[in-house]
Amino acid sequence: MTLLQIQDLKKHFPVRRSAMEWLKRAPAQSVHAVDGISLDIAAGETLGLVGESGCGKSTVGRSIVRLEDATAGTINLNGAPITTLSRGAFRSLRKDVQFVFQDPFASLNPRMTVAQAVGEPLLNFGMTDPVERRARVAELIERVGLRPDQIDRFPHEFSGGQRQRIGIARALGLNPKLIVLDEPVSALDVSVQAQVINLLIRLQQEFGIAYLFIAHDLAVVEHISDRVAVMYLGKIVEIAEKRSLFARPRHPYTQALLSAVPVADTDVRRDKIILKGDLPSPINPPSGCRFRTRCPIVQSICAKEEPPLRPVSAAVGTHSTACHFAE
Amino acid sequence: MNATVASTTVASTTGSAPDGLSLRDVLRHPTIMIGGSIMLIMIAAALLAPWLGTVDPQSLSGARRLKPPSTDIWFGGDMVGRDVYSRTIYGARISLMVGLSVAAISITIGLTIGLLAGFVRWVDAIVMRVMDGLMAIPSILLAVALIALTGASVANVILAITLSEVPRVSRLVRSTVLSLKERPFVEAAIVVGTPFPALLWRHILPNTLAPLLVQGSYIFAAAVLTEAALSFIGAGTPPEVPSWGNMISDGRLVFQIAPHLVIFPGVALALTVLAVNMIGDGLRDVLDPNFRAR
Repeated sequence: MTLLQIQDLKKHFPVRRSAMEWLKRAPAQSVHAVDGISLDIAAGETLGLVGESGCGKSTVGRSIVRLEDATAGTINLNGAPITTLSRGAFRSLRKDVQFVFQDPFASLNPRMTVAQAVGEPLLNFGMTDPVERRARVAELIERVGLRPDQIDRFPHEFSGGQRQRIGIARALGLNPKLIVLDEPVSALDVSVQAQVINLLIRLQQEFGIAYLFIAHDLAVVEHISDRVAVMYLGKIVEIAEKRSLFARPRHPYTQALLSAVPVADTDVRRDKIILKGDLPSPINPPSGCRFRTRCPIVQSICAKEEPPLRPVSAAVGTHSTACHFAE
Repeated sequence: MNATVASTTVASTTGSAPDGLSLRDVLRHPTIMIGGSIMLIMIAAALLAPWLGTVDPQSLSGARRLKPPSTDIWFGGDMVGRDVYSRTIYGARISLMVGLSVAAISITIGLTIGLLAGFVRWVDAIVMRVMDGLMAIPSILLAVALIALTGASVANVILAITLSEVPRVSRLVRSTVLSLKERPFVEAAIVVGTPFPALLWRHILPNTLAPLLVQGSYIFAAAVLTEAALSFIGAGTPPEVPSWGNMISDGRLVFQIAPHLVIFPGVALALTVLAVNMIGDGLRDVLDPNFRAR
C-alpha cells in the first residue's frame, strides 16, 4: 500500500540579483535544487535516498515535512495533498510524518531537558497532563535505549549518539507512519552509527513505520533499506530494489558511488571509478543528461537528449535507470 | 571532570534557571560577587537615604561652606553650604533610577521591535531603517535636542536616553532571532507541530534573553554615565535635584580649593558604572556556553 507519493516535485530557490544586475535587467536565476522527481514509499518500508552534497536529497526530505514549500509537483501522504494544504491544515498531519535531523547537537534546544524536548510533540497534540506526559516520555526514552532516570538532564550532558536517540524518541512520540531521516548517522562515530541504525531497524519492526533514509554514502543505506534511489543534481538517476542495485548498478554514477564504498576483504581487487571534476552548478544544469560532464562513457547523444527514467531488467523487484546506454 | 558533572547535576536538580544553571552558580562568579556587592550597597544607600545620617540635601548652612571633609561633616560642604555627603547619597537615587528605567524600558521596547522585525518582513524593512537613522545620531546630541524640546526633568532624561538605546537593543534581538530561526532545534519544534506562540515562548525567547540580559547591564552603565554627562552640561536633571552629574559640574568651578566637591560624586559614579559592568561581564561569562570555563 502506498503511503507517500511524490510526483514531479520541484524546488527552485531564487538567486538574489544584485542592484547592478537588476538595473541591467539580467534574467532572474534560480537554483534547481530538486528538479522533477517522483517517488513512492509503501507503508513500513525503507527507501534509501543517496547522493553527494548539494544534489537536493535533503530538500526532498524537508519538502515532505513542509520545512520547504515545493515550487511545483505534489506530495501525497495517505491521499492528503501535503503541498497544497494550508499551514494550519497541515499541522494536524504532522502527527503522521516526523523528521530526524542530521546534527544531534544543534537539533535539541540547549535550554530544554529531555523530558521537555521529547514531551513537546505530546503537549502540542493534546497530552496536557504532566504526569501522563512524563510517563510517556520515560517509555519512549527506554524504547530508544536510554535510562528513564535521565529524562531531567539537559542535552549537553549526553554524547552525540545519545542525543540522536533523544531526537528519534521525539520523532516516535506521535506514532508517525513515516519518519524522514536526514543523514541521521553521518555526524556520529562509525561504532555508534551501527548501533543507531540497528535501533532504527528494531523500531521499524516493532511499530511498522516507513522510513525515508537520506544519506551520502551507499554503505550506510545498504543495511537498512528495502529500495534505494540515487540522486544527482536534482534528479533521480537510478531507483531499484536494494539487492538489484548493489548486484548490478546500471547508471555510471551509481557504479562510481559503489566503487567508492570501502571493502574489508583485501583479496578483492576492484577497479575504482574516480569521477573527475565537481558537481555542475544547479543554477545552470548541463543540457541533456546532467551527468554527462563527468561521465566516463559519455557520447554525443547525451548533450542533446535527456534520458528518461526507464525500467531495466532486475534481479529482484523493479529497477529503473536514467541512462541512454543501460540495457 | 567527575566533580563538574556532579555539580551540574546538583545544579539542575536544585536550580531554577534553564540549562542546568542555578542562581547559586551565577552568584559564585567572582566578578558578579564583587560587582553585585557594590551594587547592593548603592541600592541600599539610595533606598535608605533618609536614615543614613543625612540632612536635607537642599538645606544651606553658612558654617558648612567649602568646609573640607571632617568627622563632623563627612564629605565636607559645597560652595553654597550644602552637605556633600547627603547630596551624594541622594544622588544615587537619580543615577540608579535613570539606569534601571532606561535598561528596563529600552529592553521591553527593543525586544518587541526586534521580535517583530525578525519575523515580519515588511516591519523589518521599514522599522530597521528608522533604527539605522536613530543610530546615526550621537546619543548625547539626541538627548540634548530632546531635553531642549521638552524641558529638564528626570522623566525626560529617561525618555531621551531610552530613545537612543532602543535601536541597539532591537538590532541585537533581530539578529538573534534571525539566526535562531535557522537553527535545527527551532525547525525541529516546527516539525513536531509547535504553534507559533509556543515556539516563541519555549524556543526563541529563552535563547534571546541571555544576550539581552548582558546588553541590559551595559545599557544601565551607559545610561548612568549619559545622565551624569547631561546634568554636567546642564541639560539633564533640574538643578534643584541632587545628581552626581550636576554636583561635579558645580564643583568644577572651585576644584582647585575644594577638590572634595568633585571627588565624592565622581567616585560614586565610577564605582556604580564599574559595578554594573562587572555584573555584565560576569553574566556574559556565565550565560554564554562558549565563554563558560567548565
